[in-house]
Amino acid sequence: MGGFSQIIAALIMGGLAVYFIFQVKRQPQIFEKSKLIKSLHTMGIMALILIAFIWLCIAFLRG
Amino acid sequence: MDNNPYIVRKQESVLATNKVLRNTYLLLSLTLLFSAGMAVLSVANNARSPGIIITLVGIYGLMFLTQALRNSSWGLLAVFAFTGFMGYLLGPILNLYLHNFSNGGELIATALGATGAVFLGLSAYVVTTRKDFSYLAGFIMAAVIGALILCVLGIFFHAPILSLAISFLFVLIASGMILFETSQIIQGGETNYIMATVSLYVAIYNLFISLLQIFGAFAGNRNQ
Repeated sequence: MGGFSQIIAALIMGGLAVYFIFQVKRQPQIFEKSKLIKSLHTMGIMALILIAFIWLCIAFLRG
Repeated sequence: MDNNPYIVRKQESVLATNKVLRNTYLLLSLTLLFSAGMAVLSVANNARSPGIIITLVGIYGLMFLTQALRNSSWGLLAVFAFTGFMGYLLGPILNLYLHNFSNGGELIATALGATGAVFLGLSAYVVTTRKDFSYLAGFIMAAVIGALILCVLGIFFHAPILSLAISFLFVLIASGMILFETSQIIQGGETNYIMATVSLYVAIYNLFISLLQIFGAFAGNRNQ
């Protein structure tokens, strides 16, 4: 069921990775520890918000 | 009138940023509409998946074509070709949901609404706060590579939980991409509206597909 969509998503992600490689090739500083820790914090909060939002959508669909 | 050269330059920079943002959102709206139209046509004609080779060549070929033509007016044609092809690819996926689930239409509509809400919410947050999210670049890149590895594993090992984990990861990455790209436009890091549109379009597309898969797994009523 999800096989084809997952392959498409993987291909898209591959394209994104190439795009990012082009973008960050000249900026190795983006992998600095402080930036990665800050990113982890931001993405962690966003993940919690997204999980709550998805849970609400699923509850709406089941209800 | 202000004659201070620093202020004049800053005003010019803000105007240029606003122009990129406006052009990006205009082109994004048009490409999303075109893509939706192609998806509807694809669903109506019961289009089948074009196969892995055509999919691969189509996605990467058109993406690189758009990248190569980003500074000319042909870039606009390339971006419409890319998004139209992506819309066409949605058809077989949507048909699967419409035929395999009794509430397939509801799942698709909810995924569409949720995608719109996430995109609008994140964009509004970045545009109003004008926060710089450029620090996310390294993390997103690492996450994309991690997701790719999981995807390859998912193709070989058909574990439903792995498939769901990948979808959750894609939702997170796509949301991060929206934050990052919008911030890049606001901060003047992205000055080409064609590339900004492609980046945001891909994030929205991924968000939609991943949410659809999650909703299908948790709230889909499969036909017997």
